[in-house]
Amino acid sequence: MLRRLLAARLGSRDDAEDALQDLWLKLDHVQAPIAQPAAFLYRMAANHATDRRIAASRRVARDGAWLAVQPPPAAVADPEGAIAAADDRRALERAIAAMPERMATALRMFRLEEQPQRAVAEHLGISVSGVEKLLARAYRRIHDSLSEPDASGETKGGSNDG
Amino acid sequence: MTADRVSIVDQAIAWHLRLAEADETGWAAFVAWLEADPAHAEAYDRLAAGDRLLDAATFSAAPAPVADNDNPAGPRRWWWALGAGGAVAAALSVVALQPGLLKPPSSAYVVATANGERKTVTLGDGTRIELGGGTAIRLDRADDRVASLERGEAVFHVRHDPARPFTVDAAGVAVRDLGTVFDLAVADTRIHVAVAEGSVMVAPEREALRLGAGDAVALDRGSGRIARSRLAPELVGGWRTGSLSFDGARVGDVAAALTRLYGTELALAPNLSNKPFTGMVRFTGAADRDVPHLAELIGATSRREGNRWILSEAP
Repeated sequence: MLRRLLAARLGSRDDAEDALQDLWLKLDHVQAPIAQPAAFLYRMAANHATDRRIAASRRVARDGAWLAVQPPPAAVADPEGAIAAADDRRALERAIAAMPERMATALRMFRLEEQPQRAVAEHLGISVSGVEKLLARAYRRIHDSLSEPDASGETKGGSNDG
Repeated sequence: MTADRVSIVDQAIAWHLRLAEADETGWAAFVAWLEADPAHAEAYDRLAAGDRLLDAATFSAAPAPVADNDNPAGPRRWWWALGAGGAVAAALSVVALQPGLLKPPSSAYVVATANGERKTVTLGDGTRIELGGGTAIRLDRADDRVASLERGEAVFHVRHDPARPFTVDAAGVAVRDLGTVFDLAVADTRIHVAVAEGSVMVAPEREALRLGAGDAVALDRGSGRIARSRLAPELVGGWRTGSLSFDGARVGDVAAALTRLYGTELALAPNLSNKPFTGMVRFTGAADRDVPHLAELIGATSRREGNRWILSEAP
């Protein structure tokens, strides 16, 4: 199933095989006790796949054919990629800055503080499904801000929710 | 963008949110969804890449719900006020229970790390801050020469500007750089400052302690205790390489450092926590080596219960 996850994320069985090898090497260095070994493995695999995809996409135009992308053996210094990444970061910062307060708080707690949604719900005084909706809208904004890069310098979005 | 694609993006988002707490079955269902349609995989791919950028993102702290914005001294005054009386103390303790309510002016933002995580922030003036695990630092977009260490530990590489000194606040104690690299840690009312290069001034308006390279000071705003010590400058910020030095600390501090640094869950028998600890410890990040090593150093025994390590006094 891990192999299937990697193949689905990377779009190629060879890459998945490669990534799986890397993953075992990485796992050698993990010695901390693990609560849910299976979920932990999946998470590591998914993160690893994301790393490889990001490294790969730095090599090609953002809108290049997704399935044609071959991940490079390792991320290398790449000034153009760094500039594109900086653009993305700015777009992201603008998206976050334009978020209503509660949305940004929910995202920060969920993503940076890695708090369970239940904890976010308690903090904001709303239901867990409310948190889920709030986070879904936050991610939607992030997704959209990165899909339409740099339309203008203005911050988008109002405070219609949150 | 067609309605179809919109809904696929929303599905990808829903999966992404679920995965944070997914068990094995949840992950298997996610794999099945990815495999069901290349468009699913593509949508998730974009989302995961965007999500990864959040690691380095900064978040504005929210505007204040109470009128505390016109306090120019920031959080510092609040701490001085702690001893001032019941009402103030009670109000503060309510705020302390809800850190989200400690609201700064709106140009402020917080950068935080989870236990076991690290992050480096570079400010507009070239000052670089290395955050250890379990650390939160409040910065200000409008003024990159002020910072407030809310919890945890960080190494500051300050670009010196005599006209605009860089000042970090921790537990109400100001630390002002005089051209420097220094480490600052805060836990409750206690702070610890150690200087690797240059010098800093601690509490310039109060004790005005000047520290040069290799100087360290532990200062407790609760008890008023101040203890100066010396260490080799290369050991400052040693957490970055797993070498931690303690001088007149408690075993509880060492355990807390280990938890912050690597996310190791550690419980101490109450009598151990307050035992004094001085010396250097090398940690590897592997709990099954580090915890027994620490136990040996402090003459305790360690055992593991699921995710948690428990240290108790040797019989």
